[in-house]
Formats: sequence, structure tokens, C-alpha cells
Amino acid sequence: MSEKIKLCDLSKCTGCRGCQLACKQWNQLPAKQTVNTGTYQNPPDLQPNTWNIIRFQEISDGNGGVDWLFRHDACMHCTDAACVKVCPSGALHYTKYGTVALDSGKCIGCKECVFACPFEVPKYDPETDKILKCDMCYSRIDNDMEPACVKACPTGALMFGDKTEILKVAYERARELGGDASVYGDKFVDGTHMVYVLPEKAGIYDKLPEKPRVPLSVIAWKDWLKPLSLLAAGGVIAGSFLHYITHGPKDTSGDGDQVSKEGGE
Amino acid sequence: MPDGEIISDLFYRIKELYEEEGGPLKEAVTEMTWDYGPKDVDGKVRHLDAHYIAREINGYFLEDKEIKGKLYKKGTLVPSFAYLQDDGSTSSGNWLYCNSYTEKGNMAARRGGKDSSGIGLYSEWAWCWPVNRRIIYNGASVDPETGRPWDEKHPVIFWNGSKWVGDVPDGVAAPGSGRPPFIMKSHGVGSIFGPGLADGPFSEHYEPLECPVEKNIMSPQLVNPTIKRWDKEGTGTSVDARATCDPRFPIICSTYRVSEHWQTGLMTRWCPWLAEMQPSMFVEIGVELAKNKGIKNGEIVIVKSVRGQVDAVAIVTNRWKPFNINGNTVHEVGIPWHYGWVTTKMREYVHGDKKPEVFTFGDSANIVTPFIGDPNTMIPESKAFMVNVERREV
Repeated sequence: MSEKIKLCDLSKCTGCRGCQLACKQWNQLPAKQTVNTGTYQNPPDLQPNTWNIIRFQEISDGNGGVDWLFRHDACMHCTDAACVKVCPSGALHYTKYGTVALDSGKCIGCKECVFACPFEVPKYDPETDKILKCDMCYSRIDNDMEPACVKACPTGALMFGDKTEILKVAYERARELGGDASVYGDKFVDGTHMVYVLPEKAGIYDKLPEKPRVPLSVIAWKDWLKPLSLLAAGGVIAGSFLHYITHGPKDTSGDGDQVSKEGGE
Repeated sequence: MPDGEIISDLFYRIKELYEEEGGPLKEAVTEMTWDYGPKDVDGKVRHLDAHYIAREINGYFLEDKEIKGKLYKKGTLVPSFAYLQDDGSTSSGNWLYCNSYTEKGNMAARRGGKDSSGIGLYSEWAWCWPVNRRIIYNGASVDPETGRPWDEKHPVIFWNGSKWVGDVPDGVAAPGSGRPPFIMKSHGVGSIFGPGLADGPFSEHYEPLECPVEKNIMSPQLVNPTIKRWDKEGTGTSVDARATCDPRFPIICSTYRVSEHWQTGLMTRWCPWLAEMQPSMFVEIGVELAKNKGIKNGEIVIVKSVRGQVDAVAIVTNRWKPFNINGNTVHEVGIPWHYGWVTTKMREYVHGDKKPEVFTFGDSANIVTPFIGDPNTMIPESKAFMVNVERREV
């Protein structure tokens, strides 16, 4: 199965927020009460019920001119994903397309991923004690459809397809734009499955780290110490098995009888 | 209460007043037919039924009538406007809608998914005026001499040798008969400018009726002399007031839409996902003006014209820059016009009222805009008028 990626060409985004709404519609995410805080950006950030948003940002060109930047912000679907690394229950996992999906049933609400993600994407919902985030519309892409946000985009700023093909498009577009334009996403965390074409320097965009990386603490615990803990866990299981062989299963029938007798009296 | 019920209730109250007090031409009200739903024993409509109204708009035969050798019984729905008579034997609320609700049922409720046109007309899905013609003036899509479509790959209609096939043909007799395609235009052809227009065709700069300058520096005529005005001298109310070059209202204001809402938001503000993205009335203010006024981003301010005032959240932005008009600095602010009370929290909700999942806040921009019509289209001049912006007294 070939890797799939989403391309987000910010030079073509008009900030219409069709992607933001289409995501909520496909994933049946409820709206929450908001207020205008002096910006078009609303909800103010990614939320358990908001898996992608357009970030609105004004930058001055120094000559009295102004650029209004729109950035589609959603899960980057890293190849070396900190969230998958730290997830103790297996809820966050890689799919056959290379994207990072979430099995809510397995999520135990530990919030490890919230702190590990360099893009601050997973959001914790206290009402359900679960993490929620974009899964690149796995239900759609597994049925040969593009993600809902891509489907809704009226300008072609969002594209979806095979990794090699889309990356080619991205580099061609960055070259065409020239100046400070660059491709963002394929050079770190072993490549993300959402890739930007940024018309401005990467450092300019709000909440977009210039050099994102998996936190060292995550690497230390999960890559170096986890194998040791697995070894220990394996020892426990082997010991239990040995105990079963030598002593046989635990007999609980006697206890059960006792309880039903007490209930009858 | 739905609009129809309000109208029905108003009708009965006005009728009662006329019956009690009389008045000129009172029969126009007291004798009016009003049978748009099941009735109570006193003859009043208990609750309005939209189907009764839709049938009335389509029209009935008011007596037995033979047309083209076929007898239509009294009470039968008229099949289409070609059957409407000028002898009082038929009725119709609007000829354009005749054919929308026939003996076959409510045409607008049809859900046929077949598309025999091949170009996506889906002629059996719902209905459109007139006579379910999907593309009006479709006669212009064919060569008038031969009936061959100009775009043969996507024919709207075409002549198959003996009749027209495709959409319901408009403005075309048999090919070569010389009938022009634009049947509703006096010359039968399309036009950019033609008879009946008050203004045009050449462009000219006029100042808005309410403006920050006393002289049009580009021409001797200050405002468009052909604009449509509804206010009459000596009459009217505060909504007709104007404030040109008034020091109380020194700031230009413009109105516009946001992607998330349509018109006053009566439909879009009920949609929680849209309401969440644009929940309230705002005013966009340039950084310089905000600094002068001591206005901070995100605080609620007052936008005031001579006609009224609205509360709005200040969006202080670099995108708005002051104008330099003939050497004077004039600031401009902008407001969307989508808000108003209907889905606000402040509204009084009675039992059974639908409440929005996400409330929206603020007033309609119509409170501050002027009422002046474009000479040709009568579209109001809500893009340019004068206001002031003030901090709210805390």
C-alpha cells in the first residue's frame, strides 16, 4: 500500500473555512458556543470537537502593506510520530497509508500524546475522558475518497494522493512561487503526511515550529527504556505460565457458592 | 409562530376591525377569500396549510371549461399557464407558477433522479418556473436557422427534424421561422444597455448620498441625480435622516458579508457550525483610528450613524488604512450585516420555540445603513455611508 499525503498550498488558500466545516460535518463533531475575540479565527484553537482550523494572521511588509495569512492547521500525521510512541494503549496507531489514526475505544485518556506532540494537535475531552484528533478521514481514504477537507476545498489549496506524486507537485509549486516559498513537512520526523507549501518563511507562521522534533524525553523513555520494560513484562508472563503449568488453574467455584448462599439468606 | 400563521392572524384581526368600523373599500378585506387550511365551526382557518396556498398560486378552474377539445371540471388545478383564460373561468396567484401544483401533485416535491438531458438538468427533480424550464432563453443555445446546438456536445435543446428535444424550449418556433430567442426583451436579443434603464451606460464617479466631502472633486455633479429615493421632504422618520459632512459622523462605513453567513443570517445563523465560526456582529477598525479612539482589539464598541446605532466587537486590523481625500485624512470602518435578534440569547423564547444550538450576538447592520436605491436595480446604497465609532461607557 503506497503512502498517502495531503498537500496544503497556502498560496491558494482564501480562508473560506470550507475545510473546517466539512471536517465537522463528515466526522459529526458538534459546534460549541463561541464569542468573537477580535479575530476571524474561531474556534480559537484546535479542540476535541474541532480537528482542523484556519489560523488567521496579519503580517506587515514594512512598507505600509499588509499580508493576511491563512493556515489550515490539522494533524501532520508524522512518520516518526511522538503520539504513537507514547500511547500506552495502542489507541494511536499507524495506518497502511502512513497516516496516524485513533481507535477511541482503546484510548484511556492519559494525555501522554497531548504533551508529546510537537504541533499541539491531540486535544483532551474531559467529558468523555478521551483524546480526539484528525485521522485524515480514514473512513474515506480507505474507500478511495479524499479527506472531507480536501473534497470541500474550492481553490485547490488542499490536494491528496500518493506521496511521491504529491511531493513532486509541492516542490514544483514552491519553485514556481520563488522568493521565500518552501516545502514544509518532508524533512523532519521522517516526513509528515500533511505537507505545506509555505509562501512565507516557515518561522513567520503562528504555532508552526520551524524545526519540530519528537521530545528527547519521549525518545529516552520509549526507544531506549521501553524494550527493557518489555523484557521485564515478558518475564512476568513467562513466570505466570510456569506457575500455571506447575500448580494448575485457580479454583474459584467454592467462593462463588458461598456468595449465592449469602444472597439467599 | 410561522410567518403564515402571523399573516393569517393579522388578516382575521384586520377583517374584524373593518367589519366593526367600516372604511373605504372595506369589501376588499371583509369579502376576501381565505380558505388556506382546515376550518373551525366559526369558519375561521384553524391552522394554515402551505399546500392550500401552493394550489391557489398554481390556480384552479372556477367553472367547467372545454379547452382544446378537453373538458376541465370546476375545481380542477390548471395544468399550465397556456390554459389560463381571460374570461374569468380560471384563477392563478402568479402565472409563472402555474404548473407547479397540478392534478399530478406538488411538482416542487418531486425527487426523480433521472437526467435524460445528459447535461445535469434533472428535469424530474423538484420544479422551476416557468413550466419547469431549467434554462431560460435556451433558444439562444441553438442556430436559429437550423436548430443545431452551438455546443453540440452539451445540447440544452435541439431540433430532431419534427420537434424540439431536451429542456422545455423557450422562444423558439420551428427553426428558420425568425423568432428571436430573448422573448421577454423588447428587441428580442440580449443587451448590456437598453430601453427602460434610468442610468448608464457610461461610468461616472458620484459621491454617495451621505459622504465626507462637500464637492465632488472629479465632476460638478455631487451625487447621482437619478438615484431612487423613497423619503419625501416633510415626511418620514429618523431612518430617512442623512448626515453629509457632519462632524458628528466623520468616519466612512461600509457593509459586507462573511463567507459563513448569507444576508441577515436567518438561515445560516441556525446552523451551529456556521454560528460557531462567526458568532457576532463586529466592526473592523484600522490600527491608526483605534489608537486615536483608545479602542482595544476584542472590546465591544458602538457604531453610530444618524439613523441608529449597533454594538459590535472591535477587530483592530492593519488591513484597513485611512484615505487621503484631497489632503484630508478620512478613516473607514467596515461591518458585516448578518446579525439581529432571531438567534440571540437575549431574545424571549416561549415554550415550544426552537432554540439555536449556538447563539449569535449583536444587531443588524440595517439599523445604521441608509435607504437609497440604485437607479436601475434599486439595490440599497449600503456600501458607503457615514458613522462614528465610540467606546462603550463602562
